[in-house]
Amino acid sequence: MAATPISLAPLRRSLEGIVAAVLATRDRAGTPNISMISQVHYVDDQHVALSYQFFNKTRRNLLETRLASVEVADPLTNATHRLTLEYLETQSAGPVFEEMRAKLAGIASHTGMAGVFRLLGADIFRVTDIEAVPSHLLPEPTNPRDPLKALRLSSARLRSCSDLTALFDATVDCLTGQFGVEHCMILMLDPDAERFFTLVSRGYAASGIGSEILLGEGIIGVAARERVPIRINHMTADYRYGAAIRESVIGSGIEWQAATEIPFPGLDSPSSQLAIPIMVQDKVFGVLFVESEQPMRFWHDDEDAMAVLADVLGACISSLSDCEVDIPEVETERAPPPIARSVTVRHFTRDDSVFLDHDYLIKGVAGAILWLLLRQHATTGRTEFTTRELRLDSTLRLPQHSENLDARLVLLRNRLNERSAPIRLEKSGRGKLRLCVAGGVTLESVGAETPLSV
Amino acid sequence: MPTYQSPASPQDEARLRQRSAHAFGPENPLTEELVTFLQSGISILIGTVEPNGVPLPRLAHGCRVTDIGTVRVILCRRAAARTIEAIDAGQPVAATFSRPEDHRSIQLKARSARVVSVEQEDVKATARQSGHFADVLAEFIFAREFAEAYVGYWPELLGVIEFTPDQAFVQTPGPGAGAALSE
Repeated sequence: MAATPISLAPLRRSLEGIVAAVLATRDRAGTPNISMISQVHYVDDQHVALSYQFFNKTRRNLLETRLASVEVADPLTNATHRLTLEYLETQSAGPVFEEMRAKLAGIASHTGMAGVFRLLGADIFRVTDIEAVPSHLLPEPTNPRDPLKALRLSSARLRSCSDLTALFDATVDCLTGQFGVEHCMILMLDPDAERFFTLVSRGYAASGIGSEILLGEGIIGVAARERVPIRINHMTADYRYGAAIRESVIGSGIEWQAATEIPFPGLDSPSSQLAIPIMVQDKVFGVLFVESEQPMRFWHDDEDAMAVLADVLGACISSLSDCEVDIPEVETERAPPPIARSVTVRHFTRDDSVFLDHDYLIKGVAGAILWLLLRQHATTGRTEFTTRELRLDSTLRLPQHSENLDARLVLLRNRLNERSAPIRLEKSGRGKLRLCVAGGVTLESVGAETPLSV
Repeated sequence: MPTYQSPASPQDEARLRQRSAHAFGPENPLTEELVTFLQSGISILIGTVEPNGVPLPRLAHGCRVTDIGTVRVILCRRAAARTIEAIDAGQPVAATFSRPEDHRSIQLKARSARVVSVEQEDVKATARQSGHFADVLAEFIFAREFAEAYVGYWPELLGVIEFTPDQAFVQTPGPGAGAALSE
């Protein structure tokens, strides 16, 4: 009789780490060992990973015999299955390890074991048999969510966008409108500054556009580093943002940091979070981040659908950013007209931060771009610029291979609009920018002057 | 929102053991305090090994400790058919008892066990213990409906595995987990 092919796909819900699994091993002499295990992680259709947290009898048995069986239950229906496992290897770094580490932090926090549970490794097993175990079954819940339909509608909307501003807005609008996500944002990675900038958000009291997250912090940093979605379904302090950024940049001076900090808009007490890397031409552009105050808000099918959405977003960013070749202007994008008033623009060379009067606006490459445009406007009266000349300007120090200039311009434009500044940046065609200044502008540079290529 | 008790630690077990004497002589690791713990309506897991070497995990539904120190673990004959068959074939047994509120866990091991008939006291104990376990799960972890399904069993299909423990081990998570309870 031909063996039935192993497929874990129907059991993915049982591998969410909600119902603790029961693990049996034995030693070489045949003595059994039985324990609860907090995570049986879905790796692919034929493989699972178990969390290795302590060097205990289970661990010794696995290394001795490479055999285990584990019983898992569906957290909604209580359908129970026994998996027979063959131990292959232990991974102590990489995507599977990081996914499990993040999930374990959530489980530990949820079960009062924060500080006790710590992932030492992800033990990878081949599943050699799956057997249904009789159990008291609950009916399959009727599910009003339809991530596939949401994805299809969202994908069509994203592909219809003609510029990056519309694309980013459409993405977060689709996450809230089609996927029913309460809180979401898109963050752009600036590898040189080793941080993420919030480009756009929905569902927070303040937009937080321009706020920063240091590379490597929380699930956003881990998702970008490992290039893999990271999902947590219970609140955990281990991956919380809050004031983390302030604590992390003490080196640059607390007062200065406070003056140039835009509060990160994330929830204070999220119970579910999902961070998905956005890839553009094999490089991490940024991260799509969704969160909720509700535990168990994001399931594996949400993760699958939003991961494809992030792929579509990446493809659209790639095609819309390719604006080296000017094409005939079809439509110009109009920002709200600036309100006329006099303003003093201060530029600090230490980090290219720009203040409008005493209010912080933006820093980094976006700040340097604005300062460059304003200087040129002041000295030559120019208002029309091209993205090409910005790319070629050596003073902007755009990273050679990951400049994301168009996304930085979206960030700058959104910040100016949000601040109701008397300065606006309009897109006046493919690869073209228009600087609109209403009222008198006084420019002040603080610190060593950076030569401009006028 | 219910909160967990502070998690138990393996060191707590040593302290408890100093205060409670062996209940059934020096060969049996059970103390009076452990006898109470095992029957307090907590999570019970049974492990054995099939004659071909495959380890088998299963949930159990209740436990009774007899006057002579044997442990009766009550299972569902339908869901634990392979476990019961392996025990009947003379395979060794391991049983882990865990309290969800603080994660205190003890594992008992016996070189042999036997399958015996269910008694009326087993049925009563199982109903009482699984009811308490469902209450705790519903308070701390799951929705009530799921908690009841998770601990659910078919009363007419109960079976019993009986053994005298040779060894007991601390299995509470943390440093020192896995230590034998010798004294």
